[in-house]
Amino acid sequence: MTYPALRPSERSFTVGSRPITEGDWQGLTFDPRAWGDEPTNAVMRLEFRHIPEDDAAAFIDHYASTLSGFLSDTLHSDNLSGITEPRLLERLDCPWNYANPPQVEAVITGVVNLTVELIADFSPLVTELTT
Amino acid sequence: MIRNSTHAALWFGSLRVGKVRDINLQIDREALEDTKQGDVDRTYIKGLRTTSAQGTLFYDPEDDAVAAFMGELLDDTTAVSNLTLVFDSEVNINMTGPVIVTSATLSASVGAAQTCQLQFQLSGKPAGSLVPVQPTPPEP
Repeated sequence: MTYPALRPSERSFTVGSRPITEGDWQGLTFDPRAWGDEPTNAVMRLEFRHIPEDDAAAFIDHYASTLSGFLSDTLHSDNLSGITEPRLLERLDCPWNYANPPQVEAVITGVVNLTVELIADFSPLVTELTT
Repeated sequence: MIRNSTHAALWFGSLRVGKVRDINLQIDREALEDTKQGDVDRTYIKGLRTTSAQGTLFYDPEDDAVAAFMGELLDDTTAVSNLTLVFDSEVNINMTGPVIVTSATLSASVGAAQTCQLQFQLSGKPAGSLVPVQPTPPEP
């Protein structure tokens, strides 16, 4: 299953950070320790402006079908419309979870703004690495 | 047929304003942008409509309609009056609707008649038509 086929008006992507522990005690210096080789907690924010209510309902239905965000899905290609760089598309081609419930803002009759925040789920990648 | 100013009139409630210099009707429509990522041209859908009007009256305190306008300015109630802008009374080209007088400017200049410039905000969709509507002929 994929996310609903909607092209966003605005999309922002924050690359995840590496899981690093740093220590800084008095009289001691501590080199940073990395606890993984892949960045985690990558976040994507999709904004859909002035869309029909049924498009927003499709996203809410999808959110409900993913057990309130505990099951990840890959994005539909429409969610990534406008991106031409294959390396970037490859980066984003992973399962995503809902970081927050979708937000719907009423604009006029039948028209809403929808904001969806997603967090990358790298667990399949980890599974690949460990098997 | 091109209309001239003699076809136009301004009504406030049931009172016709006797001496009007000009009337203006403005209908604005918001354009809501729904451009998507990947598009190369901006696209829009229809948004909310706003109707407003302006009029300049010659200030004649004996004119009942002018007096009604002046009364409206200092009226403390929430009652809203109807405004009708007529562009041709013979074929019913007019727009009418409840209005709030949002601005009034009274001017007295040397060598000129006193005028009152009024601005109106219509509430809701105006009734009427901007194209000719022939009166229904009476039944034979």
